[in-house]
Amino acid sequence: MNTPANVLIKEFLPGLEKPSTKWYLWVALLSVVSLFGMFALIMQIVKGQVITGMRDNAVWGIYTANFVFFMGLSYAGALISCTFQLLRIKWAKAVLRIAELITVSSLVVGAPFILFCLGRLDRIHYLFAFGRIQSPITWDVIAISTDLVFCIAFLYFTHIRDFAKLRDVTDFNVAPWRKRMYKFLALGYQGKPEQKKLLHQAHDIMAAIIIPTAIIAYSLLSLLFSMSLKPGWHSTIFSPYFVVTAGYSGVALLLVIMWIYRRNKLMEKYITNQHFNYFGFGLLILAFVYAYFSFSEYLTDWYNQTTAYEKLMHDLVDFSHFGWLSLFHIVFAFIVPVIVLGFPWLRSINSVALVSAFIVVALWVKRYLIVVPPLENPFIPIQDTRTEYVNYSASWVEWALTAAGIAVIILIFTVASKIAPIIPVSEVADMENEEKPKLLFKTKG
Amino acid sequence: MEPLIRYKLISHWILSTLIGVMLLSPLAGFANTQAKKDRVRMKMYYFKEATGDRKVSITLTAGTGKNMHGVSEGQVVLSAASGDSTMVLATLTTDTTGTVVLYFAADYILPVNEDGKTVLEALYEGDENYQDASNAVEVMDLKMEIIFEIEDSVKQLVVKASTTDAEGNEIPAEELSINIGVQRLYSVLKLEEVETDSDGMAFYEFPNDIPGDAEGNITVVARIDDSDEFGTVTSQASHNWGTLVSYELDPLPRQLYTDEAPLWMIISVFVILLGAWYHFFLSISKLIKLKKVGKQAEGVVQ
Amino acid sequence: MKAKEEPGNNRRKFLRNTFALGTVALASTAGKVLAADDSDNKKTEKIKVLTTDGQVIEVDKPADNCKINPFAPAQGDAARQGIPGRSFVMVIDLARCKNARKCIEGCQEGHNLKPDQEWLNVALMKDNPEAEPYWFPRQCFHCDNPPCVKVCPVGATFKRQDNLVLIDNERCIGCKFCVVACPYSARIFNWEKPNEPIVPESAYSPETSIPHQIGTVSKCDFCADRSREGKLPYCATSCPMGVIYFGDRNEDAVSNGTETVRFSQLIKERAGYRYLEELGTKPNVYYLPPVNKMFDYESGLKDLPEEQQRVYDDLRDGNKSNK
Repeated sequence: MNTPANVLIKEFLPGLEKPSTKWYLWVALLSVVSLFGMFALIMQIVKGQVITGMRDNAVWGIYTANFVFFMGLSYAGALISCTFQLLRIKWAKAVLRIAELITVSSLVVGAPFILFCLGRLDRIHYLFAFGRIQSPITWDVIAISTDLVFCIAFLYFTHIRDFAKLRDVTDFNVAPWRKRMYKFLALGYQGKPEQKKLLHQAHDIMAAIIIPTAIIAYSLLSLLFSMSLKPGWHSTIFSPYFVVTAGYSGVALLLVIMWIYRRNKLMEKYITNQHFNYFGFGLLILAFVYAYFSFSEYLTDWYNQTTAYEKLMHDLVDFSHFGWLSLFHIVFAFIVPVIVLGFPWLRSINSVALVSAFIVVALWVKRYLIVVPPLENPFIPIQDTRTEYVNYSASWVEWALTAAGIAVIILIFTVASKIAPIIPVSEVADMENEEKPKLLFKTKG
Repeated sequence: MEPLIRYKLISHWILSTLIGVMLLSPLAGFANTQAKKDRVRMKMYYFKEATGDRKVSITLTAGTGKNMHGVSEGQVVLSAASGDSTMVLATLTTDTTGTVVLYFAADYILPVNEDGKTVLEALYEGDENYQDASNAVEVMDLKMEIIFEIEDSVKQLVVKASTTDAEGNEIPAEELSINIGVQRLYSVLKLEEVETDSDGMAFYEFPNDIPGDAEGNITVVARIDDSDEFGTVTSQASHNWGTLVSYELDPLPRQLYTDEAPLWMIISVFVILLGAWYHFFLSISKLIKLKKVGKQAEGVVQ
Repeated sequence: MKAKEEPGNNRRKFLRNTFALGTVALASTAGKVLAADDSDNKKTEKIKVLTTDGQVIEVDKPADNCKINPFAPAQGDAARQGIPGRSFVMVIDLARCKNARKCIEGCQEGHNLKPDQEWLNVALMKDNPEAEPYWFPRQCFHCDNPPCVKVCPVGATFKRQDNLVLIDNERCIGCKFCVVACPYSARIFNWEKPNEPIVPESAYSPETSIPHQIGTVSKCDFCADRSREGKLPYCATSCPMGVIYFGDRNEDAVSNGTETVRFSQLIKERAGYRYLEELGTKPNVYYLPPVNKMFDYESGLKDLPEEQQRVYDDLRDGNKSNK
C-alpha cells in the first residue's frame, strides 16, 4: 500500500510518537498558567467580583472584550474551511486543519469568558431552567453552543480519514490505547467508494450548515451591545461589522499560527509561500473592508455629534483616556497592514506574520474600545469620587484569566498536533491524486 | 388606618419592664441631681378617628435647631381630670422618636366634666438628664355626619357637625372649618375646605372626576384639624360617587419585557434551530451509515 | 382599662423588638383594622383582602375570624404580579431639591444598604451652557417599556401590572446585562458581601429586596412592601423639602407626606416631563421642571466633602463667574 497518503503520513509519524521532555515542559508551563487562571477564578467566586476591576458603570470589562475577541477568532476558521470545502478550493487544504483548530479552541476558550462575568456561577443552570427567549444572552447561549457542537463535529469529520490512516499504518510506535483510540475514531473507514461518498456528503452538509450558524452566532454577539440604548453601542451596523472584524482577526491569527508551525522544517513543504501570499492578499482585502465598516460606523455619529455621542468621541481621542489605545488600534489594524501587505517589496512570510500578530492585538484593543468607553459615558453623567467607579482598569484576576485563556488555546494546539498531523494528510494526498471535484449543486442544462 | 392592638401581646412585657424601671428609678435619680438638665417640651394632640376610636399622641422633645431630638424611654403619666378628682389612665413609655400614642377604643367612655369636656393631663417627671414637662388638652366630643345628596343631578355633599350637652341634647357646631377630602392609598386627597352654618351644616358640590374603586365607591373624609375645642376629628363615609377603576389584574400582553415571549419570536427561533439541527443529524446519520458499511466490509474480509 | 399602647411608628424598632411575635401581632392588627372598616359601613357583608399569594379574597365578618396578614410583602409568583388595581407613579419636584441627600440616607437605612450603595442618587444637571445647574434626584424609573427586563436571560427582573419593575435576587445570575441596558444607570451590583439582614429570619421578597445577595443586581423597588401598608416610600418620607411625591395614578393622587395633590393636575399645571422621553422607555417617574427654584443650587454643595464638590467643577464654571 504505497498510496501518496501513506507516504505522506510516514513523514508525520515521528512527530506523533512519544513526546520529548521539551514538549512536557512546555505543556507543564501552559498548565501552570491555566491553573493560575483557575485559581483567580476561584478567588473571584469566593470573594465576589469586588476583586475584579469591574464596578457599577463599567460593569463589563476585559472578560466581555475577551469573549468577543475569542469568539471572533473562531469565526474565520469555520468560515474559511467550510467555504473552501463547499467550493472545492484546493490550494489551502494544507492549512485548513489549523483553521478548524483555531475555531474549536477559541470557541472552547471564548465561551467561558462570558460566564466569568456572572456574579452567580452557581446559578448557571437557570439559563436553561428559566431561559427567556427575548434576551440576547439566551440567543448567544443557543447559538454558541450550537456552533460549538457543529464545529467540533466538523473538525472530527476532517480527521476521520487521517485516523483511519493512523490506525492502519505500520511502524507507528505509540501506546496501544492510542491505537485503539484511532480505531474507534476512524469509524471503520476503509476508503470504500460508498464510504468516500458518505463522508463527502456528511462533510458538505456540515459545512453548509456551519456557515449560516457561524454568521448568526457572531451577529448575535454584536446584539449584546447594539440592543442597548447606549451611545456607541446602539448601532445598526454592528452585526456585519462584528462579522467582518471576526473574519479579519481570525485570518490574521491563522497566518500567525501558520508561521509558528512553519518553523518546523518538515512543514515548509506544506505551508508554502503561496499560502502566505494568498491569505496575505485576503487579509489586505479584509483590512479594507474592516476600515470601510469602521469608517461608516464612526462617520455617521461623528457627523451628527449628538450630545451623548460627543462625550464618548471625546473620550476616545483624549490621550488621557482612550487616545493611545485608539491610536494603536488605527495604526496596527489599518495603516500598517495596508502598507505592509499592499506593497510587494514589503511582503514576506515574516513580515506578513508579524503584521498579522499586530492585527490580532489591535483587534483585541478594538474590542476593549467597544466595551469599556461607552460604559463609562452613560446618559446621566457619572459624578462619583471613587476613581474605580469612574474609570475601569482590569485587576490581576482578569489578566490572569486572560492569560489562562491564551494558554489553553496553545495547549489545545500542542495536544491536538500530537494526536493527528496538523496537516490534513489524506486531503493533501487527494490533491496529488487530482480527483475530479464533485459539485454539490447541479443546474439542469 | 392606625393599628390598634398591635402591641397587645407584648404589653405584658412592657408593663413588667416598666415596673422594674420604676422600682429602680429613684435610686438612679438620687445620684445625679446636680447635673444640668435639658429642657423638655411636650406636645400633646387629641384625635378622634372615623371609627369612633380616640387617640392621644404625646411627643417629648429636647434641644433646639439641629440638636432637636425626641426623648426616648420617657415615662409619661396620663390622667383624666373631672371636677376635682383625677384618674390615672396609663403610664406610657416613649419610643425612639420620643412619641407615644394611646388609643381609646370606640366604646371606651372617657370621663367628662360638667361642661361636657374631657380634660386629659400628661406629666413627664424627667430624669437625670431631662427636666420635667407637662401638658393638657381639653376637648369636647364632636360628631360629624356625612350625607350624600343628589339635587338636579348635582352631587351635593353635606357634613353635619354637632356636640352633645350634659342632658344629651344635640347642639349644632357652628363656624367650624372642615376639610373635605377623599381617602387615597397613602393619605387623604384634600378637595375643599368648607365652613358649617348656624345649623352645623356644611355643603360641597362634589366633583365628577374622582376615581373610585371597581364599583365607583369612594371614601369621603371630613376632618377638623387640631381645633382648640375638639382636637382633630375625622369622619368618613363611602359612596359610589367615584369613577370606575378596574381593580382586576390585567395580564400584560406578550411582549419583549414579559415572561412569555411574542409568538413570532418563539416560532422563528424554533424554525432556525430545527433547520440547523436537522442538518446536523443528517450528516451524523451519514457517518452512522459509513460505520455500517465499514463493518460489512470487515465481515467480508474476515 | 381598654387603652392600648403603641410605641409610635418606628417600623424598624418594631421589627427588631417583635419579630418573633410579628406574625401574630400583625394578624391581629389586620383583624382589628378590618373590624374598624366594618363598623363604618354596615352594608358591606364581605371585605376584599389581598392575601400573601396575590389572591384577592373576600372575608366574612366578623373580621376577628380573619387571620390573614394583608400587609405582608408578596413572595414567589405573587410578587411578579403586582398589587391589583394599582398604577404607581412618582413625581419629583426639581424646584424644591437642594441636595439635602436625606432621601438617599432614608433609602439606604430602609433597605439595609451600605453607605456606598445608592439606589437613589442626586446628580447635578445643567441643560445648556446658559442654564443654571439644578439637583436631579433619580432612581429606577420603573419604565413601562423597560429595556432592562427585555434583556434579562432568566426573568429575574420583571415588569408588574402595578407598574413596578422588580428584581428577584434569588433568581438573578448576575450577568449585569440589565445594568448596561438601563439608560438611566439605575441599577447597581452587589460586588461584595452585602449587609447582614437586620431581621435574620425574614423571608426574602422582591418587594423588600432584603436580604441582599452577593453577585446579584439590585435597584430601587418603589418600596412595594410599604405601599401594601399604605406607607409612602422611604425617600418620599425622609425628604425634608417634600420633593418626592408618590402615588397611584389610578387614584389620580400623589403625596409627598405633607400634601396630597391630584397627579393629573400637577403634571398639567407644572409641565411635568419624563427624563429622556425620546428613548421610548415610558418611565413612571415624572419631573417638575426646576423653575422658580426655592434654593440656589450652591446651597446643596456646602455640606459635601471637598472631593465631591470638585466633581461638579466642569458644570459650575460658567455659573461661578457670574456670581
